[in-house]
Amino acid sequence: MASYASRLLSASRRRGVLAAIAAACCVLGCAWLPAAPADAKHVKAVSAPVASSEATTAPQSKSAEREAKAEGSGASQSPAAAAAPVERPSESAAVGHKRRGRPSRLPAKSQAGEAPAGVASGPRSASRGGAGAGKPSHKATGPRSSSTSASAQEPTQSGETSAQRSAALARQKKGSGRKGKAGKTVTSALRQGTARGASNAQVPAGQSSEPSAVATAAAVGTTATSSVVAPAAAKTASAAGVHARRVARRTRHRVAKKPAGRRGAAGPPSTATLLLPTVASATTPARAPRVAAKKTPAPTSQPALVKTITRIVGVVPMAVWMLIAALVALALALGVRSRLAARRTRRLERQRGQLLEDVGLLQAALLPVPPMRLGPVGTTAAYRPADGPGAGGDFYDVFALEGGQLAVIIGDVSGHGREALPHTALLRFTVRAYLEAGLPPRKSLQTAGTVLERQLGDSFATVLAATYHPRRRTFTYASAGHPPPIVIPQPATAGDARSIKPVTAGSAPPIGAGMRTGTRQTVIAVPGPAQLCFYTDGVTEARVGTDLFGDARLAAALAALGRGASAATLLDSVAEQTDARPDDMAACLLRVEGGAGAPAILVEEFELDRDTAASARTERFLIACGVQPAELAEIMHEARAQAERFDTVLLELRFDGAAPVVSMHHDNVVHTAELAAASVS
Amino acid sequence: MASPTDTPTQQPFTGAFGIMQSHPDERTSVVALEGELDLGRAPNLKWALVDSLDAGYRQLVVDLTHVTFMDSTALGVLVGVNRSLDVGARMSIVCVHANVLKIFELSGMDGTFAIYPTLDQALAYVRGHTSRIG
Repeated sequence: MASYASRLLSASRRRGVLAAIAAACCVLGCAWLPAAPADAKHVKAVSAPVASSEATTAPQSKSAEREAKAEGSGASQSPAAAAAPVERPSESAAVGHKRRGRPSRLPAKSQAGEAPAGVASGPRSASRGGAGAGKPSHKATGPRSSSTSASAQEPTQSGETSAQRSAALARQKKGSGRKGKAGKTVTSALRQGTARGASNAQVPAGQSSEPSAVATAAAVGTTATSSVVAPAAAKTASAAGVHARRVARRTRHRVAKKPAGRRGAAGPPSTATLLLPTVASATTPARAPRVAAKKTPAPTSQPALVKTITRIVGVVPMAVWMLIAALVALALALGVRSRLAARRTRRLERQRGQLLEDVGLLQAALLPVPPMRLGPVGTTAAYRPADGPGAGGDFYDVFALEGGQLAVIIGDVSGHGREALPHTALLRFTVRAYLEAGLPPRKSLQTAGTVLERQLGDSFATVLAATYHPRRRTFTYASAGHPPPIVIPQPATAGDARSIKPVTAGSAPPIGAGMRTGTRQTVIAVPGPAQLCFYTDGVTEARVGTDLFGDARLAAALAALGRGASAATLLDSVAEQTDARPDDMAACLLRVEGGAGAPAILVEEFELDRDTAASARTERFLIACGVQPAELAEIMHEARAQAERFDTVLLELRFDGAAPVVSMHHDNVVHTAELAAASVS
Repeated sequence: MASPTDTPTQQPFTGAFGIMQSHPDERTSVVALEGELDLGRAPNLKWALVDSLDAGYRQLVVDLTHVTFMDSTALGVLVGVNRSLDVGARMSIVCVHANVLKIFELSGMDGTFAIYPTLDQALAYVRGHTSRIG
């Protein structure tokens, strides 16, 4: 039910839309009418007063002309039967009405539309309206006035019979020879006929001595022009004749302005044979030339191609025109939109460039470019963000300390991107400050961990701090949850690329993880030429297929690069060897030259508190350092006792020979600080 | 003592990386993971643990028995959850894979988390039956 209603609704709406389109087409079509029929109308309209002026006064004829003009707008379509032989008498003028109301703009229909429908034969002939198109036109000559009256007597056959009726009435009324009145009546009849919009009324002015002016307003095609042909006899009244001549001149003038193709059709409207040649010539022109005449002032002078194009253009339906107009409007709108989008894109590109510049400056501030050489050590550093430009959570720093020492900081704040940036800067400068103040790496991280524990919020950071002593040729590094450096002797050999196996057991937790950190420190001796690689876990966690890149591959890549390796080339090499790099990558490369000998671990430190001293971690650490199981229990017992007594104890293992030498120290500074923190809390 | 087998709700592993939550008792939530625990999957672990805490479970066990790799992001999730535990709440980790244990060790978090090789030991720890042995 509902669907039916909606279908009805949609159908009615569709009909309404179609009706609207049709109405629009009609309006546009009327406005777009070819000029030629209008010209024909003018001729006919002007000829009417000529006729009427024979019998009536000038004002009346003017009114008739006015009416004829008014009618002419809708009259141009009239398919007058000009195509028919003029000589063929027509029995019925009403036949032409069969075509009433049908649009005759199509070329096929408009064969006869050119002609002024009205035909006047000789003087005193009965006037006659043009017949319908497609039907033989009828032409009433003088003696044939009876036929015109016959047509007037059959109003039922004619749709436009009012003029005929009026004319008949006039004939009946005007038995007298008063031409003025007869003319007036004829004019009124003519007016009615033209008002109906279809008739050509030929007013046989007749002679003044012939009062029964035979006026036949024969209807023409429905939309036909009205043509009043007055075969004004030379014997007509002189005063009216003067006016007629004036009008005739005017008409001639208008005709002269018409295109050549139309001129013959218009003909000189001067005398009683006014429109006879018009009819004759009007039979020939077809619709298409008329369209051409409308489009171009001088169609005959144009090449055939242009004519063809104009003809094709002329037959395009109005709906197609409207469609074309809509498409053009759409294209214009899209063009404007595209242009605006292009401008916006350019603006955004410009802004992006500026932002990238700013980010580059900030990144340079966070990730400094180290000097190529710090004392005896060559230094390089590089950074590759995980996603897009800009610094992430990785940070590094390489700088000189007092006494010719050198410091390296590298770290990774959890998360990466812009939220990690503030913590990155905070960590880097905090740790750097403690290193520059002279604290060893482990103490620097321990203090930084205590200071930054709350400032990092929910995030935490892995940091590695290292110093290089050039005279002793030792590296001292401490890690807070960060991977240890890779040390490669130079020249590197393929087999033992990694000469140092760092002890990772008992590693200190990251800064900000809620645990005490800065508990581990390692001292490495680098007596000969070597390269040290500090890196973030983004490098070793890059993917090779489903596998991790790992520190072994990193060491191999570093060894493969040889002496000329830099951090940038190392990261490039890693990027080439990996398929996915989900995290930021940072690397610092230090190159130590001169001397001889392989790098080796000198000292391992582990600071124990009470819990740690009793934990399995300490055992694992001692085992990893090579402590013999026989000594393990004794060392653990002693460490627990020391930690109970002093809260913390520093376990130090020195690797001078085959077995490490274990010693324990009390770190009073830390002890005091922890006591203070405990008392505060 | 409830055993991990009497689980009222249990959801199967899905996809290459799965999370299965079970609740051995009304206070304990076991989050078992499988596959690689990396940057893209760490949020799954985070929300599973946070949802358990929000649901009122005070004893969390993260079962990493079938996890072959864990990166720093997942480690960060564990650190964050461990720090956010209220007083009386406990969390333990079941881990046997050498790679994952190495990551815990390297990051120094093996001293922070209560890491056990079996689920029973981990459950015993969160229920307060055993003390920390890390």
